[in-house]
Amino acid sequence: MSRIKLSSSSSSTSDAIEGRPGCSPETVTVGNSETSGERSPAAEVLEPQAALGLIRIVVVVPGSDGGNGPPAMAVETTAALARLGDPVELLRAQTPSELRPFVEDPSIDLVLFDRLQVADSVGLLTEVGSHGPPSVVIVSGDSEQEALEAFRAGASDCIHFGPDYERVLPVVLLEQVRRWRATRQRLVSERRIRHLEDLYAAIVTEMPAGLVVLDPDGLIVAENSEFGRLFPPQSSSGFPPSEYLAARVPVTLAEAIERPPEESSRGKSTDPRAELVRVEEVDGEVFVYELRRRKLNDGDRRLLLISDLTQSEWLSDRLDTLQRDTRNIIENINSALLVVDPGGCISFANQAAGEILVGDGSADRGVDARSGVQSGSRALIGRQIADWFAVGEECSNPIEDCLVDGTRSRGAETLLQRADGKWIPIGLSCSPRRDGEGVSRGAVAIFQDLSEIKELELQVRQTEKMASIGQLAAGVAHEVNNPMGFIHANLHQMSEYLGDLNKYFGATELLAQAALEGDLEVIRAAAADVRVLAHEIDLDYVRSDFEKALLESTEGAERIRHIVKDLRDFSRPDLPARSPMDLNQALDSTANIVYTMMRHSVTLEKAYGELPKIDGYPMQLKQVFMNLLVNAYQAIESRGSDEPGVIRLETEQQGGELVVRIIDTGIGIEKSDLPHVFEPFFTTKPVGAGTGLGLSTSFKIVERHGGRFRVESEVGLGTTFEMRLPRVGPVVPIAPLDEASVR
Amino acid sequence: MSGRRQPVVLLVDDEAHVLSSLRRGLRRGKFTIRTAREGRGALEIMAAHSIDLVISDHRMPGMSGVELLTTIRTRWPQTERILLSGWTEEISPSELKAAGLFEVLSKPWDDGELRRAIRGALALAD
Repeated sequence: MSRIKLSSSSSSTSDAIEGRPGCSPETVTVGNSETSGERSPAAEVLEPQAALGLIRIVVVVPGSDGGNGPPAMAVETTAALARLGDPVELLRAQTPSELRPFVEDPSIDLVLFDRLQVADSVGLLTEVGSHGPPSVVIVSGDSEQEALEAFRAGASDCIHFGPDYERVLPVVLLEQVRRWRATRQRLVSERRIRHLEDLYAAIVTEMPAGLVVLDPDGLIVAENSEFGRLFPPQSSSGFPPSEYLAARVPVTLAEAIERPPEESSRGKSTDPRAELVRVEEVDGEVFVYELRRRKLNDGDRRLLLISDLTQSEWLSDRLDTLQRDTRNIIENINSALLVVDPGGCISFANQAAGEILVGDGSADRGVDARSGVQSGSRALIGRQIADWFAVGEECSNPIEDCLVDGTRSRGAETLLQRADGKWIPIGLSCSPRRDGEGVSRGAVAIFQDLSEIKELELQVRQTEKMASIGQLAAGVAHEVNNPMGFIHANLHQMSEYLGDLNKYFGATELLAQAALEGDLEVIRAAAADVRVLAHEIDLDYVRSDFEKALLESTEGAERIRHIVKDLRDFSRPDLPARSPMDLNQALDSTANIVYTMMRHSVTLEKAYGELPKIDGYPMQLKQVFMNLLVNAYQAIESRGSDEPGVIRLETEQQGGELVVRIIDTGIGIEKSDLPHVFEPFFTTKPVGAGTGLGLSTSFKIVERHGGRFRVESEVGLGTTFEMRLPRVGPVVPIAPLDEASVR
Repeated sequence: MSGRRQPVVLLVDDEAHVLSSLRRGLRRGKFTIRTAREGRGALEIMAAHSIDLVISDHRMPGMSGVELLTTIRTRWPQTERILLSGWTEEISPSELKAAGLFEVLSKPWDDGELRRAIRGALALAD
């Protein structure tokens, strides 16, 4: 009969038997009977049933000779299995140890006992029946006793090996397999549901939000522990926790919950499904809750999720405030602030930066229309900072230096040039920006426009200069007016002398006339007149004093000429650029002019050495000398002694430096005052006698020439100021003071 | 003061040319002239002689003119005092007041004016 199609048929051991480790000793695959042409009526009964797929059946039969062959079954059984309609895998077991793994294996659909011929078949049946797949026993056609025994042992069903055997077996087996599979499926589902329930319970318990389920009346149906923690039940009356939500949560929150979602004013929560509810307690404390709600599937009950965001809201408020404050500060400071990337490209500029770098900052004002917050100067973003620093010897670019090697600068003075060509003096501080790994991210620079400060400084220095000149004026006026006084008086006197002499010459002329006429009497009379007149006008005195007055006047005039020349030398304005100058000559002309006022109390000693010319601003350096000389003079005056003091001027060249010393024998400077003498507005002079800027101005000027100062002093003995200028001057970054004042 | 004695005028100035031109201008006056180059010498003359009028410069080595005249005022109150200075702005009003001056003249001076001031001062001194 070809109805049975064992894929491996008689030669079963060859390729159809798969040895599986830990599994059944043998497997036999039974081919699908539908491949056969003929169908039995029983097969038609099975037709409407859904296919079951591979059916795995364990057959309990006595072993074949070697124990490795296919299960030895009755020919009828084999035929019946072929009618199952689904592929069948047959596995064999004959001992409890062989059967046990199959009982635990969920892929096994059925255990078939081909009669209870194996030893202790009843025991095996019992084992399978308690928790394994269904077991079906084939019993002999006439043995009711055998069937009874099988059922008692736990068999799911028994089949009589009778005339209908071939038709009955597939029906019974399929029924059992179907039922078992359904049962198994239910068990799996139940397990899965239990697992989901556990998970759900864990989530609900552990979630950081309060969860509550409400019935249509607002009665709490369920709640989690977080909800209980957020809104503890007020169960003083001992009622069960089931109560209305309105009794548990603050009024504002309850109202928000009852409001339809569309009407609720959405807070600024990042989650569009959530609403923020702000609750202000009676005591003024503010809480912020995030509320999420949804209708449950049954449509009547509502689920609410409530989180307490008070803390995070407070933090985010704080952050907002900080950010706003920071931005406000950055925008409103008078200093310009720039952030540049490693390539020198501007990535941020504040308003002040725009005003300095572009000029009129208002046109460029980047005000965000919505927030009203000034967002810096947008026009500058992306521009190269180097555009403002002309490459040249006159100005440095500290930002570039910072980008190149991380050099920080603090208050560096430099010049930048705007697109409109205007040069602007600035004071700039710059620091590198680095990320966590120390990699450069560019630089931050903060700077101020120094134009106004420079101008003020200039005015103050100008004032200081005027003050010094005012002090000079007294001396100069006196020194000019003295000779003017006696010259004036002498001229007056000499004209009187001339009048007398004219009278005398008139008399001598008469005498000469008389002599020519030869009348002795007349001659005698004329001669007597001349004598009388000579006596009258004190001729000898007039003759000698006339000459003396003339000499003295000439000397006085000469002195005035000198003073005027010194003044002119002293006050000759500087050229805009530095020019070659003779330091000795600058010192000498200044000393001469100052000396006129201190001639009475000071002896001036000069020890000038041979000096090369240097490039400088003569007027500025003369101002330094004048300040030092006036100080020296005042120090000598302050001694209150009638003995003349000494001011000694020394110059010499030492290596690459020109040294000028101004040494006085004045009162000296207190040790505690010495460190401050170059500070602006520091003065020990009485009010009105000095601005306190003389030395600080001098310091600035000398610094500008690349030089330095040293001061030594001993109270009661005197003071030495030493100034050292380099023979070759430095690059001067700032335009000379005097030139900058011209507007 | 004795009317017979010629008045004595003391001129004080550190500048010799000023002294000689003052002498020249006062040559015809009816008074005796003495001179000093600075404050200390002037005070010596004051101590040794009877002086009717002192005309002093202000800026001089050692003692200033105002100091000298203030001292003279204290010690010889009957001696009149005239200040003749090239620059009087630097002297404070209180200093001037302390010296109790008959007149303050500035350089360059006018001989006629100077003689008038001297005559006035001497008339007062009489």
